[in-house]
Amino acid sequence: MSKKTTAVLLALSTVSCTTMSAGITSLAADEPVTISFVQAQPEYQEAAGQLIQAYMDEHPNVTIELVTDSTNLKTNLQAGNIPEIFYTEGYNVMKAYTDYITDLSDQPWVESISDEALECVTLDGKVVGMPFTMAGEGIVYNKTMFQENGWEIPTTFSELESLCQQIQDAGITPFANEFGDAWLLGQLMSAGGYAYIPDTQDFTDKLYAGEATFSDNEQMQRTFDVIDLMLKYGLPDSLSYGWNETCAAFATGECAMAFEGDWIWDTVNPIDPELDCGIFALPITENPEDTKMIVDANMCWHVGKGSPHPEAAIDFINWVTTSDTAKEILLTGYKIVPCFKGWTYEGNNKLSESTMAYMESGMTYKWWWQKWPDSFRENAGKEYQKYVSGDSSREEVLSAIDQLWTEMTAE
Amino acid sequence: MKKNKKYWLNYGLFVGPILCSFFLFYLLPIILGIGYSLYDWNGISNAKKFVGLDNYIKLFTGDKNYFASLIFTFKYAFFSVILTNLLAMAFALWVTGRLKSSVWMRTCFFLPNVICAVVAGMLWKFILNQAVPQLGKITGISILGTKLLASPQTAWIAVLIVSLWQGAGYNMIIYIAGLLSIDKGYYESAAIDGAGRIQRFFKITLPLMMPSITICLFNTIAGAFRMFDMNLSLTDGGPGRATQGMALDVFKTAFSENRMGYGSAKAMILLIIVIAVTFIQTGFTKKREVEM
Repeated sequence: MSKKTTAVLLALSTVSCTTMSAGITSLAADEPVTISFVQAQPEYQEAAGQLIQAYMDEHPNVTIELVTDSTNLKTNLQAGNIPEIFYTEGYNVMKAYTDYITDLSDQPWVESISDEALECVTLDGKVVGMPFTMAGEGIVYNKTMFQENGWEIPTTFSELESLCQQIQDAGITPFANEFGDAWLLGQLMSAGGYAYIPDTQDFTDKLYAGEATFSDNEQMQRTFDVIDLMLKYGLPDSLSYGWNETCAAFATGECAMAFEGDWIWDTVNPIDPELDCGIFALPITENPEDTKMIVDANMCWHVGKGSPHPEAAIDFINWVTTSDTAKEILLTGYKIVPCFKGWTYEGNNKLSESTMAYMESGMTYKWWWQKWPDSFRENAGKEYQKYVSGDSSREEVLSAIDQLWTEMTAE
Repeated sequence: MKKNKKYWLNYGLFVGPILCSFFLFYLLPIILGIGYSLYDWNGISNAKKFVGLDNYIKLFTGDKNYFASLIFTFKYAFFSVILTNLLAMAFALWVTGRLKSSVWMRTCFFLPNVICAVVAGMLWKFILNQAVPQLGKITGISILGTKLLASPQTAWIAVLIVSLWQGAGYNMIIYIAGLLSIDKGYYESAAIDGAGRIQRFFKITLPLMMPSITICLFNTIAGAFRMFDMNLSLTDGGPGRATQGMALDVFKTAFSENRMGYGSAKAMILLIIVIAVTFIQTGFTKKREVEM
């Protein structure tokens, strides 16, 4: 081969080797309508497949392509490759995507969204997404252990303290604490304090306006009391406990309780399929009426504004919320905790059953961390980790998160 | 050789594609990064606000956490570079020596490098959090019971251990190549002249190994500042912010916190630091390279 040919071949192979692969499958030009649906959660893959197949069977002119990789979502949105349906966590996270989500306030299913789920998908008074599932967080407890020992669910903080003492006297460690994960501490900050602030929305608005601080708020002190209790009655070295370690400790009976959400079921159940567990709301005051579980929607589907076929996507979502086939798949395939009025929970997650019970009795608080600036929860959690390790005092943690808040809201 | 048109055409054909890729994937992102760092942007929306050098000013005056991650990165880089190179040199000497274990050890030492850094992080997280403490419980050796990852003071040691475990093997290969290229004749004539083993090492081996040392130091320094994937999977910056390396910090600021402008500014500073340090280092070691 001549030198020139070699050079050209080398050039071509180099260029092809350095091209990166695209994130979203391109739309086929010869189908009547093709829409792309971002569904990257592995636990929902199968159910998603069933859902779109059912829709495509009823509507032969529509092809729905599942996109299973959402890591390139932001890049694709920026580049103009907007998918018809994608999901975000709602609230503030969703706000960042404002330019790319369609207003769905006129759709028929908006009225049937349950009250707890509505705020997650509302932006500036307009409904911009379909809430997908509710999740609850509180103290996950081992029901079998509780029944065997005759322990009762506490509804006040002092009852929780004496429960811990009882459990310890029986020779079992009360708590496993996932304090190695900063985001969990950020959530505990809410469940163990923030959510209990009377007129929380007003406080949040004042925080954003710079008129209130965490340091001055009395409920924020309660979070430290809860952490102290969990450390006193918990497994040692809690900073080394992450998701896996905590779920393992709980499922193997090493501890009786843990501050977790109903989502740990999928990790805990395979470890011990016989495990009977539930969640109770974390009490931080002496008034049982205050003790509510924090429950919120944490995922919603949006219709991409500027995508090639948004009307087809809106039709699909309308079908999902009204057709019986879709409802069946959502409840038994995805096993969602429903966000629409009148739907019942049909999955096998015992923890979600507790969540439904609290929802039905109306004893719920919002999560609130989704209204904080992006990743404030995680960064605040890191400051609380310093409290757990003993490097920061209560005042230092609160003033650190105040400073963090000012910095993150300055823009 | 006459540098005529044909010469330049051939030159362009061979170097061109690589130069193109280099520009597209290395230079262009840096230029864009400098651009992004002058804006206040969340990385998603179309609205960008020009703020000039505000991001940089904020970095140098207000950000305590940034200084903490700077200090951690420098501390980690210092120990990691020195220890990795010492270990790699020691392993290389072991493996090119006359011990019977040499061939097996070569594989053993290099094997950790084959595992991808994220997997190594997860593996060691399990080992340090669960396996070693269990071993401590069974054998009764109390020092095994301490969980390195549980305390902010000791977590950086865990990061160091994993990086040594992975990095030593790769640099060992480079040192082996350097060692094997030294003419045995020098050792013989030095031995005849009465030089002991240690003298031979410092006066012959080390100077002749300087090119390899330059390369390895360069690799380990740049790698230490760039450390990200192992950091993410082993500690995720924790506990607290004790092990938040600069690269991880850039990633979290730009993508998790949706502050692309601020994150880009941090990335630019990291770039300048790495360029400065490696510049100084190569200048220093290149002067000491000996041509025989």
